[in-house]
Amino acid sequence: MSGFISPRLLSLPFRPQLARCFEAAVLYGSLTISAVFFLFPLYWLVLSSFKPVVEMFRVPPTWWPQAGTVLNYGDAFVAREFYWYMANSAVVATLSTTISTILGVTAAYGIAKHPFAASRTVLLGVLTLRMVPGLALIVPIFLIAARLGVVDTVVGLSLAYVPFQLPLVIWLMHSFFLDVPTELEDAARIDGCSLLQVFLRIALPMSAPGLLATALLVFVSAWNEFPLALILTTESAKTMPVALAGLVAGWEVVWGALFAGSVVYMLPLVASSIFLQRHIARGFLGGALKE
Amino acid sequence: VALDPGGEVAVPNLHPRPLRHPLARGLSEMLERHFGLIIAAPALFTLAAMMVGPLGFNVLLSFYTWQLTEPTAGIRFVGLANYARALGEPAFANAVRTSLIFTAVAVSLEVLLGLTLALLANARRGVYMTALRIALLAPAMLNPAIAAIIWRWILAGDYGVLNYALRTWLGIAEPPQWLGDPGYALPSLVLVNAWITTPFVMLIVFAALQGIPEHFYEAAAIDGAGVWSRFRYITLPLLRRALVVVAVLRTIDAFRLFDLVFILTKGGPGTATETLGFYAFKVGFNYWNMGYAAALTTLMFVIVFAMSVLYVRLVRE
Repeated sequence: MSGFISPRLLSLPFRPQLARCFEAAVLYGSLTISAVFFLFPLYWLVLSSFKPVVEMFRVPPTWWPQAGTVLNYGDAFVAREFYWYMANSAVVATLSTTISTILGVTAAYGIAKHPFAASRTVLLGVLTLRMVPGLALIVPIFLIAARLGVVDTVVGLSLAYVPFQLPLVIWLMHSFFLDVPTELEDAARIDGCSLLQVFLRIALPMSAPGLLATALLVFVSAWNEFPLALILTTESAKTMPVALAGLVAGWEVVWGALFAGSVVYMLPLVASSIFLQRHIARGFLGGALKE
Repeated sequence: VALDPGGEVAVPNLHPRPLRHPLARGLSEMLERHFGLIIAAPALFTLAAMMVGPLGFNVLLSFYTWQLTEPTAGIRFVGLANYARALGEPAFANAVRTSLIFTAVAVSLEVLLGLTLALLANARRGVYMTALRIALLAPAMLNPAIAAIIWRWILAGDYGVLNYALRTWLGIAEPPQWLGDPGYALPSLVLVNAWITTPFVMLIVFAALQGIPEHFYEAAAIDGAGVWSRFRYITLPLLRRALVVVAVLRTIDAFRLFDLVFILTKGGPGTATETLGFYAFKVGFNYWNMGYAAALTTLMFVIVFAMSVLYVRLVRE
């Protein structure tokens, strides 16, 4: 499929061959400029993380490290013990994703395939909850966490993420479950499966790609979350983004450790986005295009 | 078949026949009839307890004054005083204006740019296009805090690489202090936000483009439709739904903007980039005025909700 622009991008008054060359030049030229705009900052981050501090501020800047060093990584992960915050981020993202996926997937199946009296309203309500600003819940959540004694614990932070992730899971999985053919489920029923078995053995395996996409998207959102972690943690449950932002907050920005920490922190997501891009894109799209 | 004390639904019922005890049969039927509600209940209960409840508490709190820096003053009911204060306060008006301007400019820029990129990427097939789409996923997945850090480094007035390029390659003697100049700080935030989210918009529009059947264009070509009329009468109407959904999602996020402001400008210089989200954060966690902060976040939710309803209305028409 060649989209709307072909066979000719612009109706130019040139001879066809010349017009085609011109068109290709415009097309690939503008796409390459965009690619540079979107990828240069990432290159610049990785590059800067390998520069000694003196070289970082050198004018003219060096486009490849002249005196490459891993000292910044040492500063972040040995001296400042950032691996601890990495571990916190990993635990919080995994735990909260697991809880909200289990709860949300089950609920989505119930709403999609066994609608009850108020299920339409519930679905709309869930969508409305996606608009709630995190800040509106921070004070109540903080008070609840304080009452339960889970302020600044990874368990407390994970639980605080669950209500924000649930609407996303329910909304996405609802649309994926609607794609499961009802005939198949009816056939399983006739063969003697209970409703729970139909859900676990038919609908769930059939929606596995959607499930993976949803779980990935939720994991990414938890991995990247900032405001709640900023307020609900002080030290022992501090996640990586908060630790990194802490390097900017003072009078002096600790650029070296900041870059090294950022590179290590974004690496798992960027690396997996290359291998899992199909699934991640499906998650993005499912959230936006399906209703 | 033995009766599972946990409930009949877990029993492998390979030969459906009436269970012996009428009570068990009644229970089983009830479980099956309300299966949807039963399996949805844990999540709905969680949402009620951890989202609707706290949200209600927040609204309630907005009718009280609660100054954490004055512990002896306690919590006092003040009626609508917090809302009256917001409506009469220049700082609130400034925050709403800043958020609205940011949202309007950022969302239109991101949707336009994302649409253009998607159309270009959809014009040809090939390895280059696939590589480009994969590469563009990287900014879309990046932590906003890290994105803000990168751009703070690039936009730095004296040692930033952008100003180096402007000075050396374009010969601009005194390029702007991007984040330190009140006139440039908000546009800089728009730029950074566009960098983070345009790839997301592009991916979604691209997928919608892939869904348009080829023969629509062939038919139009036979009728002699030019590039513009093909775009105007085929592509745009068929993309409308995707574009609106993207615009709503982007608006919801843009209006709540917090991370970028926190790391890039802290609302400054002055109050030039003080968005509603950042202002509410400042009132709550710098001035510790919890009641007023609750009123501000409640207003924020109401505004976001109103904007989404407006969008949906617009689409229906």
